[in-house]
Amino acid sequence: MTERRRRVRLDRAGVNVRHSRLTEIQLTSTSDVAFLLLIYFLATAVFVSQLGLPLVLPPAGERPTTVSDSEVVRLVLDSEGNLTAGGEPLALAELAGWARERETEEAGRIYLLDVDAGCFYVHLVTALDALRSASVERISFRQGRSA
Amino acid sequence: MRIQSRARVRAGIPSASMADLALLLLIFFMTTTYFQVERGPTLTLPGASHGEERSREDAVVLHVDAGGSLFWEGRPVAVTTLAEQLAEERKKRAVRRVMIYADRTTPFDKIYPVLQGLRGEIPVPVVLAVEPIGTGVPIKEES
Repeated sequence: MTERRRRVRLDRAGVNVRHSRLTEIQLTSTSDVAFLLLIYFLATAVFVSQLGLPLVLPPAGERPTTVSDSEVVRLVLDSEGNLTAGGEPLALAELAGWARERETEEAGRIYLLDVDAGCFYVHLVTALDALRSASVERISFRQGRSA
Repeated sequence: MRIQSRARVRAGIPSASMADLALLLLIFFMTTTYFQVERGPTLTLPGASHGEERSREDAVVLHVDAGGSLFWEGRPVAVTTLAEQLAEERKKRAVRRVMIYADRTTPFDKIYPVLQGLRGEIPVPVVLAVEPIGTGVPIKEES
């Protein structure tokens, strides 16, 4: 074994003057690749969050409070999504402005949304969104009868 | 007379460690990034212009499809057991909020019991998930 190795070395140390090619992995472009991947991850990474309308629900055991009519602004959403505000028909798109006016007159009133059982969820969200834009904080909603 | 000139020092930002830095950042992103798998039914969320960003971390995710079927983290659940399930979940981990993903065409009588069911002894903030306004598909007006 030792003789064989020696022979090999001798062979190599001999007259063979041919340049042996260096076998190594080219790492020059590694940094470029790394940068490109880094940019990809930076561009595609998203934080897990969601846009939403926050609500604070009353606790289960809380007794209903009695308020006077003057403190309540009654809004009715029917099954078609038509809105009635204080007994008068009102377009959902105009609710924000309407509520803002009421809030300017007297802030802190309770907005009671009487929503029909068959009313689409989108109409409720639109109404809540409009009330939020008018800085209404006290919103109550209940399920009305389906027509 | 030969005046020995001073060796000029070339000003430059050393960038030898940039590749190492990039690789380290790359490893960080590769190990921390995960692909979010959305479980639950396919929904079209309603649009809103005054929504607020809320983290889904430490949140319970509920889905309500157009037919009114309720899903807890992608699994079907009865609305009557909602309060009980929420109380159990709170024992296991901190629940900071409940996020409701409901289809825009879900009737209100399917949403209302969900909200009632979430009214536990200890109130938990509820978030109605929405899309930024303008992205939702307009619903067909019934004649």
